[in-house]
Amino acid sequence: MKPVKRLFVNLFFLGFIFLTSCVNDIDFDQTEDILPRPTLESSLVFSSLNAPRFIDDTTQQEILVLTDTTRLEFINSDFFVDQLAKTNLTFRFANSLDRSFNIDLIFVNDSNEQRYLVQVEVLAGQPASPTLIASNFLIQEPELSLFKEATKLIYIISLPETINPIEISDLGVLKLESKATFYFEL
Amino acid sequence: MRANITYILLLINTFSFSQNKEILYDFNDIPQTLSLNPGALVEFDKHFGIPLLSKFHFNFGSSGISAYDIFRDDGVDINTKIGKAITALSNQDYFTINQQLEIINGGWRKDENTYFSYGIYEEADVILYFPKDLATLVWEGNANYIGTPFSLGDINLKAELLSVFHFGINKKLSKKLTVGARAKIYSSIANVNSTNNSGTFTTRPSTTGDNFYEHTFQSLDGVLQTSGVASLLGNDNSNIKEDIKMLRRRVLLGGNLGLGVDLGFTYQPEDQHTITGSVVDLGAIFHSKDVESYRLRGSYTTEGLDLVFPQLLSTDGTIPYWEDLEDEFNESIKIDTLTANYTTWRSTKLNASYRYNFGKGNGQDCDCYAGSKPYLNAVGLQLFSVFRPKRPQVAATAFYYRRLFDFMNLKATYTVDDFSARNIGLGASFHIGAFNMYFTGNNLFELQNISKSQSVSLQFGMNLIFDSND
Repeated sequence: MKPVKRLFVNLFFLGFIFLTSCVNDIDFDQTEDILPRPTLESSLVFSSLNAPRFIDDTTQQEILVLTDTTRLEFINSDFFVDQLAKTNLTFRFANSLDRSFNIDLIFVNDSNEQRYLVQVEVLAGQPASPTLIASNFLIQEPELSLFKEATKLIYIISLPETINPIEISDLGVLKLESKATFYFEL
Repeated sequence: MRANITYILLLINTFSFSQNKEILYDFNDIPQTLSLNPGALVEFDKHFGIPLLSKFHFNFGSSGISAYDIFRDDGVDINTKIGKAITALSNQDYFTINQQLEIINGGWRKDENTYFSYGIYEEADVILYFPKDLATLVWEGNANYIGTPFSLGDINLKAELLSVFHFGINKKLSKKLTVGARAKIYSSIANVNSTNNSGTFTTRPSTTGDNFYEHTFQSLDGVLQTSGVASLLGNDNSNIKEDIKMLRRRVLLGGNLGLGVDLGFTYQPEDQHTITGSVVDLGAIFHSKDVESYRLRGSYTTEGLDLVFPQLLSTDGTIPYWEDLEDEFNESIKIDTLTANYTTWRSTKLNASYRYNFGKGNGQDCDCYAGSKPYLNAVGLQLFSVFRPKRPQVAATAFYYRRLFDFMNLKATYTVDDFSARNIGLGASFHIGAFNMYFTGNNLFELQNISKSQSVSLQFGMNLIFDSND
């Protein structure tokens, strides 16, 4: 074989190796199916109210309804609206006051229109043996879309009529802990 | 978001590169070997690279995963495969890019013992460590990791685009020893790096007992430095022609400048034994133009919003719990934009080799210290190391070199590195008169299905080489 011919044979061989290199058994269309599904655990609101909090400063009488409100801007954020697939809210009450309560946790929009309602009845407890109640609320479609319109949470504690109201010196607290499990699809 | 992740994965899987050029190293028929060891044996009198075609180098590596692992068509849900990959990879795994294009390369012999070489080349160099904790948080969330810290330190990346102007001297000091040095001026076109981050994010059961969890950002301290990027991304400059003009200026020493040096030697204690060593890109770039850096710092812990049911309400009718939380967070965790100068060190490379020459061609007799030319064969070992932000990346290569014909020299390599333990490479240098053309490529077994490969290195180029002895 002449040197030049040999050169071309060798070049052809080398080129063959590179040109036959390829991508087999691969399906890049699978990228369409990529769906990260992170699950985020987050604390929400909490509170701890002792007996004096249920007594009106001026009248020194038991208050019938206590209420507090906070904005929860994230629920209506673009990220939540677009990516939240479902959520699970957990509210845990520990009541060591000798008094029962009706709890309303109302998620409302900016116009104070109700978007999701949590209602829990908390029975009376004792300082040494608090009543423990944990309630889970799984929010999925179709409720979820409405829930995502919420921007505020109103926490209402109603004290049903009783012959045995809270005294300022009573021991015990009404404690709320809460968390949310957010299931996202990104 | 889906599209973004797709791009990131494609980027990771397609453009993952490294730095080793094990076939080109100590391949003395090719002038570009001088760029790996300025003290290599030079057996010709003059060379000139074909402009823009004298060397194209392309090298990718991914230490823990290949595209095949994720995209193989096996009926398994891709999300399952990605989840498994995130679990399997560690924060020591990395993806690297290295690409070089010679614009000009040449050299001439001053006298019997001295050879000068010069050139300009463009280089892109990227290393990205797998940010395992961040990937886990994005992919899975924190729900399965209560009490486990996610570390900001997992974010570690370095990317630069630069042009390099160099001039080298190769000097034969004695029959046995040749040394060389190359001075380099770097002109950084763009640089992004974030290598010194610390701090954690942890969700753990509340330690006060006030709520279910406490979320803690602990001693966050992260810096992302950029130069040459802000002006390109800035809104006030949307003219692409202007951008190209600016980039051209930066290629021609108008960027952030730096200085570096390559050093090397070849030692032949006996004519059949050759030892070489080199250090390449011992240098730094000083970034002062178009610098924009971001610093994240602070600590913050929250258990949620503490509703206190005030009897005396504010004018809004409530306490601004949410706004207070936002304010506290923003005061505690700060992101500052800085324009302070900074210095980056180049990724310095070390090479070393031992070579045994054997099998003289028929009737050849010569001053064999002049080079390895009379020997038709050589075997040897090479070691390579490149300094990277977390730890050096190392490779060991065994090679066989064969002068097959006067016009064709071959080198076959077997390399063990972070990417593979069965990497076979092949290089060929062709010489027809003064015209020289070379190809080198590794991981040849994987080329049948390149997606399975965790690294590939390719170089090719064309030169004119003149030798008065020919």
